[in-house]
Amino acid sequence: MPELIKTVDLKKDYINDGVVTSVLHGLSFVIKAGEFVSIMGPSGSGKSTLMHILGFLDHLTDGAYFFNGQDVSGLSETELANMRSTKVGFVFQQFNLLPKTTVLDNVKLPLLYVDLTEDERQARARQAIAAVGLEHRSGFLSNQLSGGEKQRVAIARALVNQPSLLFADEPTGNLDSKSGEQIMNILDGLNKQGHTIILVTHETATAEHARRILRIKDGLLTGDENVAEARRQKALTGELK
Amino acid sequence: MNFVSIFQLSLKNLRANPLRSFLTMLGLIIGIGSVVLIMSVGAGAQVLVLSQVNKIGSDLIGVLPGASDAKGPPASVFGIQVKTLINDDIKALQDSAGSLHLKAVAGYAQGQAKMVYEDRVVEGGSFMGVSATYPQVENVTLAQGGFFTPADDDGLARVAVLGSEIAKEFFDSDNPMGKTIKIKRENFKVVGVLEPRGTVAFANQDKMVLMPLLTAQKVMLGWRHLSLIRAKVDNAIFVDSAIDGVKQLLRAQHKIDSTADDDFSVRAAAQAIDMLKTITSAFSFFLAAIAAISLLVGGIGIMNIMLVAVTERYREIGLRKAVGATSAHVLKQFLLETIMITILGSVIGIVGGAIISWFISIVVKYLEYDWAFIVSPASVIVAVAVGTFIGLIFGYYPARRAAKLDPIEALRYE
Repeated sequence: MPELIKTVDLKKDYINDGVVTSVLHGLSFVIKAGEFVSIMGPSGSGKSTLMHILGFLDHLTDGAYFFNGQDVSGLSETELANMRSTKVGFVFQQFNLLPKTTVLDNVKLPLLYVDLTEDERQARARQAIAAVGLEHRSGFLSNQLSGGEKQRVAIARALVNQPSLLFADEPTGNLDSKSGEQIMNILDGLNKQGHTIILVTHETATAEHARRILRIKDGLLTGDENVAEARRQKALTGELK
Repeated sequence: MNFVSIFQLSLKNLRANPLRSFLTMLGLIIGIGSVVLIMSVGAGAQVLVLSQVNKIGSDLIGVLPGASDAKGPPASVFGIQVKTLINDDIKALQDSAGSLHLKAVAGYAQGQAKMVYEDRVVEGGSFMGVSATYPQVENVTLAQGGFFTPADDDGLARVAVLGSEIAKEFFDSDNPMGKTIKIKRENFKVVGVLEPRGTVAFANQDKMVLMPLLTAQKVMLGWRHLSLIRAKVDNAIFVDSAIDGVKQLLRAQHKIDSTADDDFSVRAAAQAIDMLKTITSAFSFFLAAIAAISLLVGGIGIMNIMLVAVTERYREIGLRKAVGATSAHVLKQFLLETIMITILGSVIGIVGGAIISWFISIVVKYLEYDWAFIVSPASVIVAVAVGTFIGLIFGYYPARRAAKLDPIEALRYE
């Protein structure tokens, strides 16, 4: 499989009122297309910052970031927005659905920023909703859905622009265990279909749904291991909880 | 993201909070409504002024008691009694009529009194003592009977010529000729009824009772002075020279030395038009100032609400940016939302202003003045342009603030 992501000595500092806080201290790793990787670490380890940089929401301070072989370290704000629009999809812990808005309109949201006809938007959104099994809820308002359904809508929204990479930031954090399992199984299914998925979590049990875990602590990469298939299966069937 | 998508999105956001959207627009609605109202009423007022003055005639000049300058009317116009015009002035003008190009001169003394005919009572009815030359000066014709004569005037005759409405009010379809009506405590014999005239110089002539000038002054009012003198010029081209001649004659008559100001004011109908236009435009400026303040307050209100909306929608803005919206997309969306609020507010304001203007026209027409209900396309264009401009000015800052939000910070916002 080709390299999708490659970081070389990636660093990130924040400057607040003249005080420099280093969050990432030089991370180097490669993620290939089609992988299912967990970035795992405790709170404050820098995993969310890493996801923001890999997801084109933030700039790195030093080092290099290659996406599909292209150096994307110094992209402008508009270029970053274009990358977010076409290359990546996000699933957040808080779902972040638009209130008082239908499932269909929520899923269509990312398509508003790409050049498509309304018919194409409708067709793609319906396809993405079908992929998470929520066709029967298309006309429902977001506040009429259960937590698990909301997260499935969020996954459909992340898929709708057919991205190369899907980020899931603590996707089960606000769900009961049964809904959480459903979400992880959907992500696993998407990975099997060829989607590259990066899961960000602080829980080992969640992280082990992926095939590979990158461990981060205090802004450093402390581990890079594959998850044994048997253990992964246990995670997927909920036996690890 | 195309314009239609942004438009639909903005419309949806407005519809999500209808009450808030309406309250946001309210200041603007009042401001725009005022603009339309001012322009509409201004246009109506011009029609009124022109029709009123045209009825008097452009070959008529009026002399009012009391001094005035070119900028405004004399105090007597506002009901303040000034006693500088007397009957000798009429005589002096009549004696020099030929050299002054005056065809006819009439004096006026106006008052109000209770009028009674049998069981019918008019409280505070208007009467006007006028010279026998009144019909020539005012171009009036009689529907019935005749006008009183100079002899009636000299003899303090209790005779009256009625306006068409007051005649109908007292006598219905009966013939009023020769009947006696009581004005104050005096009995007056009806000798004539005028043809309907409507309102002239802002007074309803059809509700007026005319009587000989001296009778009005001595019997009814106890005055020696006049409310007004009117003179008809034999040709409109002599109006200016007639005004000068009348001024010189009256200054001599009043023994005003060369350094002192006139104690009277001479006006032609055309000047009255200018003066009334000055008054209406001053009134329009006043209303325009209120409208401007209202628009400013409305604009600030819109900015305030939009800033609140930006804060409330931090997460939404963060999400939009996370899924690919650029700062320009967010800026356009919020700016368009504000402009839509202001355009919608403008439309409601236009309709509201037009309704109020229409209502005013109904009331004024009911009072029997000529009033045109006019909402010009220009006023609509001005209103929408002003609304859009306010949307752009006051919407830009909140929209820019939204556009500049960091998506990560916005997504974390609780």
